[in-house]
Amino acid sequence: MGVAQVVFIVLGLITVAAAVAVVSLPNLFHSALSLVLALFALAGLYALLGAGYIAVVQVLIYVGAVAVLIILGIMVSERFMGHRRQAISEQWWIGAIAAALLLAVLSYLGVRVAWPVVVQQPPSDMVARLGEALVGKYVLPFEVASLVLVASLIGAIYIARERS
Amino acid sequence: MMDSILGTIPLSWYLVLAAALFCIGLYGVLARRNAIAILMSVELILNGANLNFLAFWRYTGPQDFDGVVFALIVMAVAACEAAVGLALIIAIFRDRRTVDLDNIDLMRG
Repeated sequence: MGVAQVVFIVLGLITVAAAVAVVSLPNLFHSALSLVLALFALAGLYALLGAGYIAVVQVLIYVGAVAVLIILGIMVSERFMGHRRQAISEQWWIGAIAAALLLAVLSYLGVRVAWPVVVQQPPSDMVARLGEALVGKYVLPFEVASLVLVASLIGAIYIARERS
Repeated sequence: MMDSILGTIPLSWYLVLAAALFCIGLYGVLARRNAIAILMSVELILNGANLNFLAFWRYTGPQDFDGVVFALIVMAVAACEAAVGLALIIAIFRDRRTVDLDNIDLMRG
């Protein structure tokens, strides 16, 4: 077994274990910390795929912004949730069955379908060419994404504002 | 070195891992009662999708950047989703003093 396979298996196991912890730990704060661990392991997997830029963006955006935002949200609201009720709904087993069925179908497809794999290198100046593509071929999705970001920022401020 | 990585890790490993992440997130969305926990499960789902995008980009056409650009846009949308979701949760919390979704059934018919 090659080094890459061992790295993949270790990172994959960390990711899955942390993801299971996110959905099963009763304490929200512990869930959020597990989410950070899962996101870090995923950044490692992106780097293993040769998408180093996405790995860095993953750490910056997800770990640096989204996870911190979620932890902040937990801290704001948890003070008032003194009576911690059951964290999992009574009908959790229906969700578990649905998720297990979907996992079986998706895994079967992933393993069985003959994907048209080509053995090719990503270009060595990938980040530069990605930047050019973002303002060239993909300029419309890029601009739409910035518009969505601005709209959601304004919306978030408006929704969460203090009403007097 | 990258060739050996492509040669040793099959694409299906990434697909199975991404499917596992997606399904764990799906279970979280269906089973958790707390709105913030559901938001975190949605982040897991989006990351499973991102892993699929990047795996397919790497294994079926690394000269184009379709998969990478898609992953970047998904991250931007995920950031928006977290911001708006938490704003909604804070607004609901201010109003109802709870983020337990079983108690937030204002729109139930």
